[in-house]
Amino acid sequence: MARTIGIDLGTTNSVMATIEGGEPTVIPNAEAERLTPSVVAVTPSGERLVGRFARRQAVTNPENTVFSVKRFMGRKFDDPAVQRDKGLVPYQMRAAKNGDV
Amino acid sequence: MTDTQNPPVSPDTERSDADATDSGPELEAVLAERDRYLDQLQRTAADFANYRRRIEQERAQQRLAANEQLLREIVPVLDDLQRGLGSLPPDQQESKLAEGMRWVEQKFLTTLKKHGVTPIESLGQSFDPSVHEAVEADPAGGDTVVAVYAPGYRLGDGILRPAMVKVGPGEDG
Repeated sequence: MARTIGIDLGTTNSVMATIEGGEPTVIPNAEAERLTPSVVAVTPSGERLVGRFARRQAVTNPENTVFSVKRFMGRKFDDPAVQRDKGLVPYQMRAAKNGDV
Repeated sequence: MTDTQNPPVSPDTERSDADATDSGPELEAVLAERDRYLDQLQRTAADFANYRRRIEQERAQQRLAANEQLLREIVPVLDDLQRGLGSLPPDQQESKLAEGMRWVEQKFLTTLKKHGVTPIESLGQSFDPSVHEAVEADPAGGDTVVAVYAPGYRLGDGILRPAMVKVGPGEDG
């Protein structure tokens, strides 16, 4: 039977949970932690990192470590909020053909 | 002489589910409700089996986790002790007090080891986010650990705490 999970995609951390026996239960990630940092990175060797590992190398790889991406999700590139926050993050952003971030 | 008499056969006992529609929607509704209850019972039984299995796993994990939490909070005390030792001026490094502190440091490390905690060798290694946390990066780039601000510690198969390091060019870079 396929399970449904709920994801709390936070700006800094994310959590996932499922319903078991009528009660919501938080699911630990592969590192057995209940919170997963909302960070994704691509290393110089092309390896993709997620969560805690991505955060640990953020300082060495600022242009390819994406965090706080929720601020930009669903917005257009020209949105004043996007333009304002763009300067706060070290990674690059471009407008897509339809104007999305 | 036993008097075995078959119980009287009434018209009702011969009826099967196939005849249900004959007795109308009431029986149909009851059968549907029965099916619903049966389905719910089966789902709950499966849920319960899963739940019980997971509780057993969690209980074993919790025992280890309680220890881990305590160890993780105690390691920074060792950090401070080591920093204190490292910051002694040269003329005090061979003092009785320094020697005594080094005994304490050793005892600390031995006790940690007894509980499965071992230091991670980091200086000079390739940067590895599974055991290192970069807190500073040399602007010149590089992927070697050039300084360790706090040692990392393993616990069993996992990491109790990653080493806090500075990443920079290696000897050959």
